[in-house]
Amino acid sequence: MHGFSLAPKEVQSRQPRIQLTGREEVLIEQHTGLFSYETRCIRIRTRMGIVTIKGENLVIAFFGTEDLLIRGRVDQIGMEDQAG
Amino acid sequence: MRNMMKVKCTLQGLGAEKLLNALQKQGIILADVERRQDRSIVIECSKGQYARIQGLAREKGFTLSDARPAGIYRLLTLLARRRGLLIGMALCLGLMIYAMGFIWQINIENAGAYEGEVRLFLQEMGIHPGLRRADVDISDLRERLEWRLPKVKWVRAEYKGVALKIALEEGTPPPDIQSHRGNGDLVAAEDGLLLRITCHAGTPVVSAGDFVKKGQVLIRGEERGREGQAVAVQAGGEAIARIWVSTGARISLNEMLSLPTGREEERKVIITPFFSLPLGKEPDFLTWDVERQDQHPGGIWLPVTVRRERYMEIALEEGGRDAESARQEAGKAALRLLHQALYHENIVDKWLEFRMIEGDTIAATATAEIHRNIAVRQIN
Repeated sequence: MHGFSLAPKEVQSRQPRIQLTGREEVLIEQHTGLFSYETRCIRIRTRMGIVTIKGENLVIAFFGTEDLLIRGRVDQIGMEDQAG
Repeated sequence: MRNMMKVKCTLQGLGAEKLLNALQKQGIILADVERRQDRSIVIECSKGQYARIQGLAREKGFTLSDARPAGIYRLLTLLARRRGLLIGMALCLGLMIYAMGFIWQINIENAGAYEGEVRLFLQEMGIHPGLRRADVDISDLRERLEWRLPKVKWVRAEYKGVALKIALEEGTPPPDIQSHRGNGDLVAAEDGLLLRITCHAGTPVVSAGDFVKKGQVLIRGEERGREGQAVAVQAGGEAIARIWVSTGARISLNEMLSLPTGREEERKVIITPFFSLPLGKEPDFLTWDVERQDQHPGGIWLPVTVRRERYMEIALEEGGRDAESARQEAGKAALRLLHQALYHENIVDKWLEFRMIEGDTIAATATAEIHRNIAVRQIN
């Protein structure tokens, strides 16, 4: 018998959760690491692939084990398949 | 406190993302990761984890440099280095707290025409800027002011920061405050030499010993506010001055004498309510005196009067008069007029002066010195 859990689906499956606040702040939960970092483009590894955030003056305001907070002017958010 | 101790450092090397991921795997939390123009990355971490980051960076071939305190830790480090500044700040704070125990400003609000009176009261009580708060019983001050100003409904005295604020609520409307150029001034009612001046409100512009002319401003209806600005008030006070009052009388040394020549004539005139009927003509004398005597023959029943006129010729001649008696008479007349003029006044001194006018008239001048308040409100 499978155990029953009240945890949200994305937490159980370790899927990433991306939260955009206005155009200034992006919070990515359950990331697995930083792929590349430039002031105009930040790419973050997740279990579902690479999350690409494009914009201007992007800064990693918080880089924790599971959460990553990006601040700056956000123009575009996209997903790519896992590279390599 | 430990969390507040942050360090900011610069990471240099190719593929800095690999190091960041390695730090993340180690459970090291980073903040404000920022890429610079020179391809370096600036990171902020806690001071306790800096040694681990440094070890990992060295292991992976990265250079970690320019470590410096960040946030509050930076401020604390700065203060720790500058102990003199810290001591100075503490001393400054202590002085500020000490200075707050004193009265540095006195604000009188809504006092209107009583502002001068309140200031006078504070002066009498010895309350002035620079006094310790502990030396002023504020409730006693309020009660005394209420006794002093019975027309004031209530008085509020309180501290506002380093200022003593006294606010009045007037029960009876005060006298209108006029412009300092207008009705607020006290002016001299007459000429006089000032003996003393007492000012209750306003600004005295003359002093004891000054000779003032009628209409001259004695106390100007303005005071300096706490910021030096002119505040219009109704001037109050009195100005006691020496006043001299004179009255005069003239007596001529020549008098006209009428001397009878001895020639006389008589005639009768019948007078009714409708007409007069002279029984004879007037005498042809140049000057005369006349005596008249009325008779009523019909009593109250007949309104007819018989008037008997007796004309006596006279000659007019000028005669000389005794100078001493004329002088005394003139002096008495002048003094009588002086006492009439100063009936209610307390005469300090008085004297008589005589002079001859046109050779045949003696003029007597009585002068009295009195002391009285000559300050009156200017009425425009």
